[in-house]
Amino acid sequence: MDTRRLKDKIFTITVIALSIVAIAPVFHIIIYVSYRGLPVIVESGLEFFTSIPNAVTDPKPGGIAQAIIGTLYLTATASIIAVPIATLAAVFSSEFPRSRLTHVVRAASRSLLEVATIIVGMLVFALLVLPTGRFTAVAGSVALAIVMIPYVYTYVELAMLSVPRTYVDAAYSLGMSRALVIYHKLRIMRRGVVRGLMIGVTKAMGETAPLLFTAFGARNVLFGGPLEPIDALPLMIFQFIQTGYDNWIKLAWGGAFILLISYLTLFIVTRVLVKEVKY
Amino acid sequence: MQARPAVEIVNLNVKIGGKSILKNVNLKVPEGTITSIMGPSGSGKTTLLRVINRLIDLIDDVEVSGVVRVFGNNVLEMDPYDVRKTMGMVFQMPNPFPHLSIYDNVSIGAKVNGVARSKRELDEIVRWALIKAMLWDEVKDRLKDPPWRLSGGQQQRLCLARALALKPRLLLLDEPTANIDPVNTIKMEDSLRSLREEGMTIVMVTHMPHQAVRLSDYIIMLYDGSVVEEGPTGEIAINPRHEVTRRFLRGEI
Ligand SMILES: Nc1ncnc2c1ncn2[C@@H]1O[C@H](COP(=O)(O)OP(=O)(O)OP(=O)(O)O)[C@@H](O)[C@H]1O
Ligand SMILES: [Mg+2]
Repeated sequence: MDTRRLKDKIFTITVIALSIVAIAPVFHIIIYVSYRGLPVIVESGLEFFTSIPNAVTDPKPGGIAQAIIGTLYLTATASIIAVPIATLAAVFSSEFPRSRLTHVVRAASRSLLEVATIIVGMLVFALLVLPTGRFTAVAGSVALAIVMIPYVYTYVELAMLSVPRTYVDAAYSLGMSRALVIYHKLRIMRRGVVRGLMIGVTKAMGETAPLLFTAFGARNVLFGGPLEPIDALPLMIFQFIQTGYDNWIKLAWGGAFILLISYLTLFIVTRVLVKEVKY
Repeated sequence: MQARPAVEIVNLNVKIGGKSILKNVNLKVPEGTITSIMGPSGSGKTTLLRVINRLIDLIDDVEVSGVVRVFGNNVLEMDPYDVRKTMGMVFQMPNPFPHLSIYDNVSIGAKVNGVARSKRELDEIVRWALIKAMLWDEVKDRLKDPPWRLSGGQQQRLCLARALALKPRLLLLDEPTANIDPVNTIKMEDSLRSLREEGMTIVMVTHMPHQAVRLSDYIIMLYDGSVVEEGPTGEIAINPRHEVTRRFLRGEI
């Protein structure tokens, strides 16, 4: 074997080894969370998805339905608030890159990305919780929406800016209105746009800090409505894992497993459903 | 030039970012002819086409002055969206919309502009445009395919069909064969000749003197933003008056 081929081989092996090192933690998490979480779900059975947590003295752990419902509710409402705002802002910035407003929006988005999400929680606490005197699902939705917006904005803007100029020219040359051209740009970049939405949604699903002083958590009812405190999976995991009660620690692991599965499903489903546009 | 001008440009000046790109351009394109615009790289050929269909408006910091009459109307005073509906454009690189099928690529302009009122009329226009672009036989059984399944030359003819579906009286082409092979080039040229037979006016930018001679009735020679020479192809190709034209025809610039 000559030295060039040897070097080639060493290089390839190094790259493969490093890749394995890089993704090993991901597999470790998946395997460990499944190892701790799956048995809990098996033990509780259907109850895991339909009931609230049992008392710590109960022989069985019960369920986390209130947290699943809460996460679904909070993520959905946060998306309803964040996605239109972020997408409009992204479209505006990409259409008017030199506008003053664009500079302001970009700077604001960048600083929001830098700010610890607990600060977002405190901000919403000051704005919505203190004045009304209560923790509410609405406050949680708003906090998560604020966390989501800069992610969706950044990714959608990037997608819009990466549409090859020549398609934009072709679209305008056919007499299309600006709105129609934007619509087609979004479709050409559908993969990037959806990626942005997904990253926003997974952020909202996984955040604990912004919910601590807003949604607060509520584990004695399945769903109390928008004006009551509400639970969420990460909040429940964060609080249960440090209780020291066997039942609740089990529920925390079960919840972590559900969260993990939701991430994986979301990513796989969007990858399969939203194909990259080839050109 | 006897025929009524389809395009008449008077004292056109274009500045981009304060720099003069087109300088006092005056020219006429007779109706129902193929007119070639030639000139070295950077002489302003693309810019000239983009003024005619107002794509120039998409660039920041441009100043356009003068008169650009297309079939009698000064397009510089019209709504640019209305201007663009009346003319088709084919670009230097094939650029069919990647997210649309072959059929939708052709039908989209006709739909946007309300050229077709029913699905049947739309089908008819798509068929007509693809036949005119000499692409129908190659794609008629796979109209739902995405355009990347086509060769580069086929894609460029698809772009011609897309422009034709607007039913334009004026067709603008920016080096339409610069990036495709000889066989596809010939098909494209045949297609343009047959469109001329139907009375369409065609303005084509080309880098290739041979193509201009083969295809066009008139030649306009652009150099550094100015028209240095214009006239019937025979005169310009055989007996160029201007040194720039001579050097261009010899392939020196
Ligand atoms: N968007 C723009 N911003 C700044 N300058 C531009 C822009 N578009 C064109 N120009 C300038 O205008 C001049 C003419 O450009 P144009 O593209 O019209 O030339 P062309 O004759 O089509 O050249 P080519 O044969 O290379 O396509 C060039 O000097 C170019 O740098
Ligand atoms: Mg050009």
